[in-house]
Amino acid sequence: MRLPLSLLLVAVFSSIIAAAFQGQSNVVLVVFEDQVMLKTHSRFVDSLKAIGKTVEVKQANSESFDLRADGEYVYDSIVLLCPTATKMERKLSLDSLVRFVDAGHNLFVAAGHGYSDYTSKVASSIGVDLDYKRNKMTDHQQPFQSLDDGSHTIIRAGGLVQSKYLFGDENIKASDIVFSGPGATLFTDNELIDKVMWGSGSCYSTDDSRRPLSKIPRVAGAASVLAAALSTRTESRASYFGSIDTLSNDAFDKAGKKHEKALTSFLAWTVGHAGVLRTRNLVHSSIDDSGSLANEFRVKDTIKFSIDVQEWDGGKGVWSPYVADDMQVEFVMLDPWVRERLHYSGNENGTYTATIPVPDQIGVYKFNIQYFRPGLSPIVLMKVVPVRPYLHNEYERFIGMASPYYASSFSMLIGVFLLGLVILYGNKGEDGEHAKAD
Amino acid sequence: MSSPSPLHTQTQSSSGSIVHDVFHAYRLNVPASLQVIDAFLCYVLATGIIQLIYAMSVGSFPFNSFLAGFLSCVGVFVLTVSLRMQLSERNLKDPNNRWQGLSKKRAVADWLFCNFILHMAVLNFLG
Repeated sequence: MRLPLSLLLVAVFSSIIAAAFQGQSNVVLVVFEDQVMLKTHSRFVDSLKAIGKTVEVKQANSESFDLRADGEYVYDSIVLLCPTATKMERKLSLDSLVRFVDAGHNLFVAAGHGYSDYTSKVASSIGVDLDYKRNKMTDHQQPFQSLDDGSHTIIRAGGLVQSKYLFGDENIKASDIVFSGPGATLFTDNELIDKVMWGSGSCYSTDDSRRPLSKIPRVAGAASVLAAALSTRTESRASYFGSIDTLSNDAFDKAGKKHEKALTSFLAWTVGHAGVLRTRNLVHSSIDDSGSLANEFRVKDTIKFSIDVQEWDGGKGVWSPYVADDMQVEFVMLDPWVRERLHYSGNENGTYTATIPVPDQIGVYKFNIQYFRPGLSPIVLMKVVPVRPYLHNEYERFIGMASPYYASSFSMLIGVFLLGLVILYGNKGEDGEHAKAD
Repeated sequence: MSSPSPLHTQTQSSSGSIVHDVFHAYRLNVPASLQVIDAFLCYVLATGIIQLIYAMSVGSFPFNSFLAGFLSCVGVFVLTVSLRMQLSERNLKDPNNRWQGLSKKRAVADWLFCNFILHMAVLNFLG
């Protein structure tokens, strides 16, 4: 009776472990404003299916958004394509969204002209400060001609982060991307969010592009954020894009393949398809034969440090080696005492190695890797190790430089011995003569 | 030594002849056993000075060895001077001398014992 029970337990545990390794869920929740958008933005959402995600579509006026079932999150990611939807707060509260992201899940939020307070709050919770809802980014120098109605509010982006992880291709130019919507800035108190797409030098925000400006625009030029990406400390991601209108099938047709590829790649990046790094097998050992203990080093040792850095290959569904030449490891005691480049060894585990000379200073050190690159999940890694002084039996027994001191000590010893002999036995006769003389 | 002529007053006598006089008087008046001790003291002093110069020129790296070597010289010098004071006849004639009741053999035994302790410490500290 007991054996089958334990077998059952083993089966249950192994399935739980397997589920944990594969990620809890592969389902993406996409929230649309209404039935119409389901059709007009189908290609953007279908790109998620192409990368193997299961898409669950809901409308903003749905009755409920249960993110959890049986205490676990049902969804892997949430895509909010409902910038003007109101009354969302009660169904999908900001608090629950923040907790969803904190728990390691991903969020994509799109804004648009006339966005709701809810969208503004979601954006500000990830560090994006939206411009006034009536404003639109305007660019009279380089509007997107084939969609322009004369208002010059459909603009081309002025710059973006050149990253194959974020936008699928390093060669995508900012002017390939078409934008229509409010500008934004980033809150300065969130150090994890990066602007990944920004306006050209001639763009600015205004509520009426046909009239000349009467006051200083709140957002203008390259400081205007069109898209932003947040990599959290829990290895989840949150992205913002300010233009729901140019995510439509119609805009994809008119703006071209590069526009479509960049924005669908940005969505794929958000749901964790590209640029996910992980580290494995942190190993450090002393090259010198100093240590009986593995996790302890002696001053002036040389440490061989190695770590595997792997990148999630969404296309094949495997972890492949991450290849870069700009990673470094620090050996820190308050300040970095040693900073060494990590060299890729070329093997299939993505092993990086570095040789670290331990300084001549005892104390508690730590290995420290801080690797932040746009489009890549951050690597923050610390490992504490003590550095001890030489043990008493690790010094040389005799030191050449001290030989005069050895010689002098022994000559004193011998001298005292000889003088003792002379005083006791050697000079009786002479003493006697002097005594007589006295 | 001939007595100096009236012409050779203090101003005329050169420093060389003073040293010579002093040395001659020393050889004449000081017992041979004390002279041996004095020679040994000179040797100890020279050894100590040489070590000091060596440490100042090459650095104090094995500092414990330097301290052991240098302090063994200092210690031996001090102990031997004490021994010389107890062995000197002139000191023994002094009625206020507090060593008067002690024998010379005891002084030598004390000296050897103190040297024994000193060198135990020195050899331990030498490294």
